[in-house]
Amino acid sequence: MTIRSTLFGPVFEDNPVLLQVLGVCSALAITNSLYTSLIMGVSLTAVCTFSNGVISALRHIIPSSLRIIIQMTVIATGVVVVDQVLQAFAPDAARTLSVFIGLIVTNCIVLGRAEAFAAKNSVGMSLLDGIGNGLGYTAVLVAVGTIRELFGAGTLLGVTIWPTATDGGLFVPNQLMLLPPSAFFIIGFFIWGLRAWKREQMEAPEYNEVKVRPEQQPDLVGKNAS
Amino acid sequence: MTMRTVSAPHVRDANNIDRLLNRFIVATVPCWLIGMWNVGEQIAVGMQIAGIRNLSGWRAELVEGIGLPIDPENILSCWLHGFLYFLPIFLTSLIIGVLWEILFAANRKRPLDEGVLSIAWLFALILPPTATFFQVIYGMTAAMVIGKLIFGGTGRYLVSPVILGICVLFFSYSSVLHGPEVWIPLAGYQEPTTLELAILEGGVPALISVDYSWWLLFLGNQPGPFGVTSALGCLLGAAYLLATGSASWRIMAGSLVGLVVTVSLVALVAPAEAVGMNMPWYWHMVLGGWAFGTVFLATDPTAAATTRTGRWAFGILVGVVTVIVRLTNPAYFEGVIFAILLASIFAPLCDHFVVEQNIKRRRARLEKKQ
Repeated sequence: MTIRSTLFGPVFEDNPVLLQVLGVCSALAITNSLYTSLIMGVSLTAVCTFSNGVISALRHIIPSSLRIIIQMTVIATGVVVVDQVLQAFAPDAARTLSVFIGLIVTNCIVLGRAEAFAAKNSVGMSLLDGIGNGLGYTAVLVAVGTIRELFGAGTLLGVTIWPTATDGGLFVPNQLMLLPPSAFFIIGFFIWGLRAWKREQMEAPEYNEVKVRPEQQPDLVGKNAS
Repeated sequence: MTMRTVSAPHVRDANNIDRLLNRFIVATVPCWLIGMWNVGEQIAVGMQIAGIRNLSGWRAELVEGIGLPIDPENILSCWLHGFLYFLPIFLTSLIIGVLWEILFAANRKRPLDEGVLSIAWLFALILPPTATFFQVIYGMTAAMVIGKLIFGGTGRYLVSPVILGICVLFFSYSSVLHGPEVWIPLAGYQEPTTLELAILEGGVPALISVDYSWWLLFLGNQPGPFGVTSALGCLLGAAYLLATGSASWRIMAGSLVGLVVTVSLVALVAPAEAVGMNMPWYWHMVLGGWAFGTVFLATDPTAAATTRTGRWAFGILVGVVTVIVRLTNPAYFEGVIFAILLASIFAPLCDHFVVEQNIKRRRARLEKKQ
């Protein structure tokens, strides 16, 4: 376990959204614009880093039977702080994201990293792991948000890239991109692409096809009349 | 001794499933023949109503160039005019479909799958004459890649690629299949579909008042997509599919039962002033795309249920959901596409319960014997 693999591994090798398929709910709900995607990604990174650091520092004194409760308390504290900071400094974003900042508490990535990594590793590595998983999540969110905002509204961060047909341009907005299910398709395409690139992420097939050699194939024409 | 194979699980001939799909193309020929004439006739009538004397564009020039007048009475010129609208759309979807098929077949080192022909054909028949090249390419790409090839081709997909392509296209650009201006390709001319007219304006009286009769709608002379308007064509197609054993009569019958029962039940509880809800079931059969969807799209051999009882349940679900969408969705009435999409997703579940029941019954029989 190196610093490099802990920090950048979760981006392509072990992406929390694309390989572990965690945190998909928020990835569907808030990626209709790049701005909300960025805010959400940064918020989750902050919460995940904070909770990983605190839980790792406390890992020797947390009784194992109570650890989930304590982990949730730490995560909830982080979420409340992030929510208050957003409401103070980016009230528009806080209003757009509404409950989804609060729902970082239930995001499987945060609790998953606390339980799987921070509870067993040093504070330094846990902080790096929190940042790394936040990066992996943010990378997916930013990519999905870019595609959805660009093709759904013709803008990026609110700046017009392609003038729409109603404003005299040529671009006709794709309404599907404004609906959450489009993120399903886009994330699906990302997983497809990533697994085509990194073959080791492919799952083993549930069954194998029986290969019939040509000479063994029965000749079906005209034989049933004998 | 000559043996004849009659029922389903036997090998009848060297037909495989993707070649079987080509029979759906043959079966839709009556719909297509009537549909081409219908599109041309709608344009000619629309020109008379809107007071357009001369139509510009290569299609009208070609029709007039070979000496045919653009006239609603002239069947040949109407047919040709409609066909010239259909041809570019069909060719575009066919070329796009074959390109994706070749790309994936070459990459996976598998033989080409003939199912692409029927997908392109049915997809083009569902589109209106005003569909643009980009929309055709986009919808066909969704149909082929997300609908079919991602799952490994014919015999493996979850929902009919045609239905999926149309749904993705509709949700992306809802104006493709929706609104009074898309069915007749005359700029600024508006004519709602008969289904919209009946449900929004007030049932059968509204249809009769603009000179539609049941027989006219049965024949398919109404604004609509290229090949979907004719219930007569669907009936002939159904006869061909059932005679060749290519489609399940249980699915079609189930959809009919679902439609009749739901419409009758709604009419029992609907207030008298809700004329759209009191429309009799035999009018529902000739309006919109129910007939086409039931005969050619719901019976897709891969996406539909495969057990006998499962097929009844599948068909009934299609009929019921179609009527529910028609009568309760204020924005979009053509429920048959969503009904088939929903039913296809439930098809494995229908089969699962039927198989479970079979196992239970046979186990009980075995235990009784012992």
